[in-house]
Amino acid sequence: MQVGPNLADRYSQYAVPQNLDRAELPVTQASSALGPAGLVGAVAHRQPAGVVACITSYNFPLVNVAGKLAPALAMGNTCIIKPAPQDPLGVLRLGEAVVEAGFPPGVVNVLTSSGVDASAALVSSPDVNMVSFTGSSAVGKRIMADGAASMTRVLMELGGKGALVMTEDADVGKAVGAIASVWGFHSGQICTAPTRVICHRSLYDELVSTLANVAGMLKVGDAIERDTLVGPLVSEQQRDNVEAFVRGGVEAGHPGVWWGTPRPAWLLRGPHAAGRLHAGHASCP
Amino acid sequence: MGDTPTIDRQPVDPQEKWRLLIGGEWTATSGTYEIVDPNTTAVVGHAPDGTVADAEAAITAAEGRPPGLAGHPAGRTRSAAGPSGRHPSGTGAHLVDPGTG
Repeated sequence: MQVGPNLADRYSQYAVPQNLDRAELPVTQASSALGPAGLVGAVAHRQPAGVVACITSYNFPLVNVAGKLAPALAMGNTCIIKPAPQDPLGVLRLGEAVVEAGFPPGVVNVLTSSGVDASAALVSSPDVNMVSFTGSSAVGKRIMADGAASMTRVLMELGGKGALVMTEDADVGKAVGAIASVWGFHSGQICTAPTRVICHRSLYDELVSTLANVAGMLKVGDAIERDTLVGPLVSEQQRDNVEAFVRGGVEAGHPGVWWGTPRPAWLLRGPHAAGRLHAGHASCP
Repeated sequence: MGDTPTIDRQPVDPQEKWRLLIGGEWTATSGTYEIVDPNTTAVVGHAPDGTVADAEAAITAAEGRPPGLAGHPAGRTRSAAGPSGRHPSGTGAHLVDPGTG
């Protein structure tokens, strides 16, 4: 199931011809120790990088691919798509559309894999000119480090826990609506979602009790059931990772306010509770 | 609000044989791994488990090189989509004033 930007929009956005060369206005340069005075002109020129590896995230399996593939192809690059291991089948279907559309062989390739070795081979290859990655900060760091050996250009869209900041004059009702809506949208598994709140002391108790009330009203369960408001995390492993973060927070003295039944939704309180989750980049509601 | 579209509980055949797309060819892998529906924990299919060799084949295909010349500099050609390699001589570079230092 895709939520958010329309897949076709991503492609049509890049299907508009652009000037690849832009002339800069001439600039006079004064004489200096580095050279004589002169009139300097320049042209900004855009050209394909070559082979681009598109390594994508599990939370928007097709739209995330589209956001990398469309501009890369429009510019004249060739692509190797390496989708997230959890949900790659839709991307293989996209490959069927690519073949049907008549792309020349090799221009779009789809490589699925359960482990990291195939991705690591793409990143460290001197014949891959650019890596466009969306995913966790931990993997992003590894890609930057491995790619540095061959001076591979990288583009990173990494995980985190977005913060909602509530000042003294904030409207608690509106804030609760914004926070709770994120719990239901992809179960909070979105890098930009405000799954962390920094709240003014005077509103804190009201906020926590209201959030706990709202959380208790959200049905947690099978996302395909019509009355479900909070679906599952992407995998059992991811749920276990998040639970370990939450358990760590509770053990460190941050009281848990609400737990989903069945899992997976959590609400912790305390000045550093969200900070702990943030440090671990837990992708969760 | 219009009618809510029905969501297909089983959009793919769990027995479907999935393959990698490399150089325009659907390529089988030595192994596969299970893809699980997080709602039900049911296995919805088996994805190709690509290896380092598969990644290298994809790179060769993306470079527009014939498989027999993989890794050989003489085998480098322009890709179908545009120049490949680190030193493409794209149009427009000649417009830069050669006196600019």
